[in-house]
Amino acid sequence: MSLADATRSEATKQLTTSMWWILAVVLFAYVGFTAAVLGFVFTGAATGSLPGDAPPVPIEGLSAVLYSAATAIGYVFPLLIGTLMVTAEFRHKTLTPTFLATPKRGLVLWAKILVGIALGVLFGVVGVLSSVIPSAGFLAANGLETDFTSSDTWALFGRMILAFVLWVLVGIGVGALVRNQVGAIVGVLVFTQFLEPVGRTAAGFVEGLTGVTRFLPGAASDALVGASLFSTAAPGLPAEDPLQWWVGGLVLLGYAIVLVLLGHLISWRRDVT
Amino acid sequence: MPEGQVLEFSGITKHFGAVRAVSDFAARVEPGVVTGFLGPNGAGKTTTLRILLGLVRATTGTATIGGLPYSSLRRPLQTVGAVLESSSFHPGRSAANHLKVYAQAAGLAPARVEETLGLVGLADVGGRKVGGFSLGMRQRLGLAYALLGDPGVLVLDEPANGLDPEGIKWMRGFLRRLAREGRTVFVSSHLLSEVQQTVDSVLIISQGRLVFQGALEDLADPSEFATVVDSPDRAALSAALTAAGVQFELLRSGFTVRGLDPARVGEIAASAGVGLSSLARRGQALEEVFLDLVSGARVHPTAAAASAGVGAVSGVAPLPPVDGADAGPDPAAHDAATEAEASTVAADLEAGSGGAPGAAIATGAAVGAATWAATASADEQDAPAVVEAADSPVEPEAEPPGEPFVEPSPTYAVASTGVIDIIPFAGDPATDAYADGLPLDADPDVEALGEIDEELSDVEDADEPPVVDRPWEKYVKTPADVEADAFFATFTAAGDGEGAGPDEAEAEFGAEAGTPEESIAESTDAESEPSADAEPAAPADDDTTELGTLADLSPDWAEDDEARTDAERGEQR
Repeated sequence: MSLADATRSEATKQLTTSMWWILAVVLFAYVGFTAAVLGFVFTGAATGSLPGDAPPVPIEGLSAVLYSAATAIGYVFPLLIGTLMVTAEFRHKTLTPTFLATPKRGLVLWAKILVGIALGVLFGVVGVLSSVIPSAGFLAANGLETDFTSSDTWALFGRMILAFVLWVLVGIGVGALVRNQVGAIVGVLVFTQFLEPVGRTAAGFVEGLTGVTRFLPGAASDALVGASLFSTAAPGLPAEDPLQWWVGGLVLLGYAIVLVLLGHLISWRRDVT
Repeated sequence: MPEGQVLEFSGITKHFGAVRAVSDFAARVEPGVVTGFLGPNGAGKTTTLRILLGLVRATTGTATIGGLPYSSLRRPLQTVGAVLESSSFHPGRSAANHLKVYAQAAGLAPARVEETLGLVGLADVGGRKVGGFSLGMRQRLGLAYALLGDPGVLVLDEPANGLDPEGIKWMRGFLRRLAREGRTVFVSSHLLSEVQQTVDSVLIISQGRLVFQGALEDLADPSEFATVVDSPDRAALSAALTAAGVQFELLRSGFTVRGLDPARVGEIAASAGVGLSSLARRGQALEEVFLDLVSGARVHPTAAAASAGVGAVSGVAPLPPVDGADAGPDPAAHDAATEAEASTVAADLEAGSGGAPGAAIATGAAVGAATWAATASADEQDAPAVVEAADSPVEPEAEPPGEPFVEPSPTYAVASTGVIDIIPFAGDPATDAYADGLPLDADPDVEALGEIDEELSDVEDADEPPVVDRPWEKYVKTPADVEADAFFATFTAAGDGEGAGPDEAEAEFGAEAGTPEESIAESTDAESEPSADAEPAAPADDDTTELGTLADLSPDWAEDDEARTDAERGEQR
């Protein structure tokens, strides 16, 4: 019973069910498809090859915007895997054997965090590939710069993977706090797919509110990655003034820490009945 | 070989909100024996076990394993193996991977997974997903988890749930073997009959309080016993007993004489020249004692001592006793009131089931009980004598209840009594109206029960006219029926024993709990020995023939362990 044992056990736990690869496949398909559509539209708009009077898209930084689609729309996947890592234990009552084998519950949570980090990296790589492959294809096909030679692009990839990792940790915190698997999944989807995007968009119309909404987790994640579809998508609106990338990262990490701590204190130590 | 550890509970109290699940529970579980942890559903067994395992935090008090709380164990899975619920699996994970997860968590060698799967007989299905497992397979997998670390302590919560008879037999043998190896084996159950072949000592918990702690043999009071004797010539035997000034009662299987040992009864019969067809000693029924303890009608000194031992504030406060006078360990409690009550409730039962002919086996039994109860009363009013006295059909509904009576769980008594024996009461207030009519070993053998039921239905040796409007009494069970009954009766919930009405389920429970298979088998055994001294064995009459059949019908899974416990109990009796 050590952290190494608990971590190995936790890794086996994740890899012996199908959830991780199903989510990875869906992530790849979903982000890949979206990135392909965006790549087609944006590269077309940038080169003026689209019919009609599509709004012109600046060529400058287009590759980064397309590449970052993985985090901009795909961050819900690491969030979900993190949540499921914890709620599955409640749902299938496997906390009982888990805590019997490792009675130090903090150790179990640490093991989940470590495995979560690894899964975050894995999902991050899958996510980056899923957005970069079609985007680069369209960029190259339209004779635009893929920027693979630029170190900025590779730093972007690194920050994207970091964002994935942080999202898994946020998910672990959410899962520990909410316990109920269905409730947690619904909550995560509603917040990430509806509440936050709507809130961030709506805040654009209210004076001074963007100063608050940029601290929302999705905004912090976008800031960390440093380029987002979100700011590009509504060019007419006063966009958020994003945080520095490292501030964004710290804000997201802060969410993860607070949620995990709360989950540990409020729910993880509760009686297992 | 791993060392067994002492499990120690001291002053455990647990509140869930306003609900007090466990109250000041103090007990000690020794290694080398199988300890049963008994109590009705909702009594606090699972909570107590979870507190022991550090899954639930006690409000006050401590539970230790070899002196350490669970969370301080250095190698928990190698120290304690636990099976707590049958559904602690991710359905999408294979059995082998399930075990692998926890083997890794405990730092065990990967080979242990295959080994334990083999131990519980799942070696062939280790690669299959648990979602496709039957309940019995899940139970076995749960046990495999418990055995992963080859622990010295095993804690099992209702391990027999979901197991088929073969699985239960296997489990019993397995637990005994583990205990013989010096391990601590602590098994909870809500059915005494389920564990009594397995356990050496028991803790009984009711409403969160310990009500008994000690060896199974100490549960029944050895001074409470009766001799059951029968003869083909009942009139002669009755005369002989009366001449000897012996108080007796007549019931279906013979005469019951209280407080007089078989040797003396045999002597009386011999001196009168009456041939005997059976002569046996019957102890107090454990199931009855158990239910009394659980309902608070009986308080055992061990519980009080255990509580006092840890400086308990509250001690064991029994429920309001049945009739206020029997709070002692040796209650002379079951007087006429009990009997009257039994009859009344039996009558209720009959009334309740009258509308559903052909219902459960237990219903039939209950009806039989009611009829007997009626006969009993009739006897009380007439002379307490021979069976011919009760020659008028007595409607149970018409029977006057003895006196106002409040009992926490009357149906148990009735059902148990009804199925086995109701004794025409001879008016001796010191005698126990029903407890001794029950067999000591209540094995859930419903094949025998089915026989009994048929026996009940064929009222040929009773003197009531055949009752034509009860077709279900004539219903002959097919082997399939009997088997199905046996299966379901094993798992019939005991109810939690508080204020439950006399419904069929409980009747069924009682019936199952009180199945007289073993005592009957013993009767037939005993018959040959003592009566050989007294008289050459008389030709078997109807009763003994039936008894013989019953004994033959004992399930073939009655294993040597059971035989062993039986033998012990026989001595003790």
